Amino acid sequence: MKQQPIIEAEGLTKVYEDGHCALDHVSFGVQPGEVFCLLGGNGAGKTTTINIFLGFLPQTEGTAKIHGVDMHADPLEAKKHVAYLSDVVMLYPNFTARQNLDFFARLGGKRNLTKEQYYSVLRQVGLQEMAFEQKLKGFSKGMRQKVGLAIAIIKEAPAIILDEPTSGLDPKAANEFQSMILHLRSQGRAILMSTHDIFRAKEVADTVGIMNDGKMLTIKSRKELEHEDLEKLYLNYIHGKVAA
Amino acid sequence: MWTIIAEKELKEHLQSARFIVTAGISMLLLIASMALGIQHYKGRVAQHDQAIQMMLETAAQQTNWNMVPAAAYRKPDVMEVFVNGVNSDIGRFSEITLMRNVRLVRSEFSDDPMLAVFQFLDPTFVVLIVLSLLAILFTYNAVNGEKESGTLKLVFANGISRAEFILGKLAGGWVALLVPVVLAFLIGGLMLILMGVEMDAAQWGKFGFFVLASVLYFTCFMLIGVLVSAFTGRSSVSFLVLLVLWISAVLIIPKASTMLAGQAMPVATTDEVESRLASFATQARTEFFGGMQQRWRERFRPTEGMKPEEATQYQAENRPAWEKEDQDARQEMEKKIADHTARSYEEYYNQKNRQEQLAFSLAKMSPASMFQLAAMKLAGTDTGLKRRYEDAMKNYRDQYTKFVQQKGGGFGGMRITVGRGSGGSVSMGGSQEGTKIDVGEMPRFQSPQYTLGEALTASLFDLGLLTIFNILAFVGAFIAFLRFDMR
Repeated sequence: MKQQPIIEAEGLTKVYEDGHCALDHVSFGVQPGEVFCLLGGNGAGKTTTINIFLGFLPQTEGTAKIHGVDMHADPLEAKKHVAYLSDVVMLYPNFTARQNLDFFARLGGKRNLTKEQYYSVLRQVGLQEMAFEQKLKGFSKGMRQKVGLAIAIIKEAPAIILDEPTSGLDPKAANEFQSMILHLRSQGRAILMSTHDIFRAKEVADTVGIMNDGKMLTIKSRKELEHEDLEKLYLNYIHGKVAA
Repeated sequence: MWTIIAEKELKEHLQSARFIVTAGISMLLLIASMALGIQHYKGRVAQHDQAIQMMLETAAQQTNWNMVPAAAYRKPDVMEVFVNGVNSDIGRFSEITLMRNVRLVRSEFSDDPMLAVFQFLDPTFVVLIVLSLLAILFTYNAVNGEKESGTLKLVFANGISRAEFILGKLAGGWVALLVPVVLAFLIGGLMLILMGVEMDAAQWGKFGFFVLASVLYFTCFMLIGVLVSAFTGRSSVSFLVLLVLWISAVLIIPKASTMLAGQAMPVATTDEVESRLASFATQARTEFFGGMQQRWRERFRPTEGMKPEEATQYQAENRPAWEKEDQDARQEMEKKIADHTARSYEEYYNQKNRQEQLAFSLAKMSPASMFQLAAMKLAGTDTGLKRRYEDAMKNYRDQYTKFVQQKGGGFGGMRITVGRGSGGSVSMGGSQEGTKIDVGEMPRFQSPQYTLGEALTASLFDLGLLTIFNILAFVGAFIAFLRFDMR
C-alpha cells in the first residue's frame, strides 16, 4: 500500500507579475525513505519549487504540502516538519560548528541538547573532532556543508530539502555527502534534492523528475531508469525529442 | 523565538574580533575624552578661582571704589566635561563699566587658536562621529548579509515569523552596541567621583539624560542601517548608501544649514552694531554740545551793554536755571543714546535668534543635529549660554552701580567690573580718603542657574524628534524586512 507522501506538490504553478511562468502545474510526491531528485538546467524551475516548499515564494496555483500541512496556509506549522540545506552554506563564521548547530537546533525546537548530543551529530556527518569547537571562518566548503547537513539532521524533521547540495564540492567531499544522504534515506526521511549533476542524481535518487522551462517533463523511478541512460534521456527531454 | 535570534545576534557580535576591536576603541575614546574633559574642567575651575582671587586682592588695595577693576567671570560647569558645546567659543569674563555694555571676552579659542582648529575631543564628539559610524558598520549587512551567506533561508526554513526575526535581530544588535557605551559612561561617572569632581543631583540627572540622548542617537543609526540593509539586495550597496547618508547627516546638513540660514537671513556682526552705536553716540554728543554752545550764546546776549557788576549779578541769578537746563539736556541726550543702544541690541538679538532658529530648523533634518542640540541644551553649553551670562552680568552691573553710588561714588565715566562665578566686584564710588575699601561689602556676581527642569524643557523637543526619528526608522526597518525578498 502506498503511503501518504511527506513532500507533496499538486498542480504547483508560479506566474510572476511580468507574466513569466516559472512553474507550470507541477505535481509530484516524496514518500518516507525516498530520495527525489529534481533534475534540470538553470531556469528549469527547481529552485522555484523549493522556494515554494519553504514558504519563500507564494504559488499562483496548486498546493505544496509538507507532512500534510499546506505551506501557504500554515507556513509556521509546515516548517516544523522540514529541514533545509542550500548550496550556499556560509553559516555564521564567528560561531563554532557546535554553536551554529546549537542555534539552528533551538530554532528548530530542540532545546536543552547536551554538548555530547551535538558532537554525536557532528561525528555522524563526518566532521573531524578537532573542528567541533572551531570557528567556521576557517572551514572549507565541504566542512561547512557537513555542518549544514548536521543542522538538517538535528531537527529530526521527516522532510529534508536540499538545493544543489553538492555544487562546488570536490569529488571526495561530494561522495561523502552522498553517503550521508543515503544514510538519512535509510532513517526513513523523505528527501527532495535539486541538482543538475546527472551522475549524482543517478547515484542517490529513488525517483528523478526532469524539469525544463517550469514543467515537469517526466518522473522516472530507479527501477525505470535501470535500463536507461539517464544522461541521454535527460538531453532528449530537454531538446524535445521525447514528448512530455 | 525572537529571544533566540537576539541571543545569537549578541553572541555573534561579542565573538567577532572586528566588533571587539572597534567597540573597544570606542569605549577607550569615550573614557579618554571624559578623562581629558575632567582635567580640562579642573584646570578651568582653578583658573576661574584664581582670577577672582586676584581681582579681590587688587580691589582690597584700593581706597576708592572707582578704582576697583571689576569683572564678571563665567563659572565652569561640570557638564562641559560631556558636552563642550559653545563653551570654548564664548568669552570667559566681562568687564563691568558704565560706559560699555557687558561683553564676554577672551574665549578659549581666541586665546588658543589651535583649539579652534581641532576642537575638543569630548564624549559628544565621540558619540556623534565614532558611535554612529560603529552603528552603521555593524548593521549595514544585517539583513542582506544573511541573504548573501545563505543563513536567512536556513533560519526561515524553521517556524519563525519575519516579525520575530527582525525584532530579535534589532534587540540583539542594540544590546551589543549598548553594552560598551553604557560601560564607558559608567566608568566616566566613576572617574568623576574618584577624581574629586563635585556634582549635584541636577548635574547627575543631566548626565543621565545625556547618556539617554547618546543611546537614542546611535540607535537611530543602527535602525537606519537595518532599514537600508533590508531595502537593498547586496551588502556592498547598502554600505555605500549608508556611508553617503552618514556623511550627509553628520557632516553636510548641519554645516549647510548654518550657511543657508546666514545667506537667507543676513545679520550684522557685533562689531558692526557697536560701530553704528558709537557713531550714533558721537552724533548725539556733538548735537548736545552744539546746542549747549548756542544756549550759552543766547544766555549771554542780554548782558551785552550791561555794566560788569550787572552782568555778574544777572549771571549769578540765572546760573542755577541754566545749569538745570543743561543737566536736563544732557540727561535727555544720554537717555536717547541708551534707548537707541537698547533698541539696536534688541533688534540684533531678535535677528540673530531668527537666523539661529532657521539654521536649527534646517539642521534638524539630520539626527546628528538633533542629538548635538539636545546634548548642548541638556548641558547648558548651547547658544543660550552666552545670553544667560550676559543677562546675569547686566543685572549684576545694575546691582553694583547702586552699591557704588551708595558708597558715595558714581559711574560718571568710571569703570565697574563684575566678577564671574560666585564672586564679583565693582569698583566705583569714593570712600573715605586713605581708608582701604572693604571688599567683603562688595556684591558678588551669581552665575545664572540652569536647573535640570530648564535643561529638560529646552532639550525636550530635540529629544522628542530623535525619539520620533527612531520610531520611524524602526517601523521602516520592520516594514522593509516584511517585504524583503528572501530568495
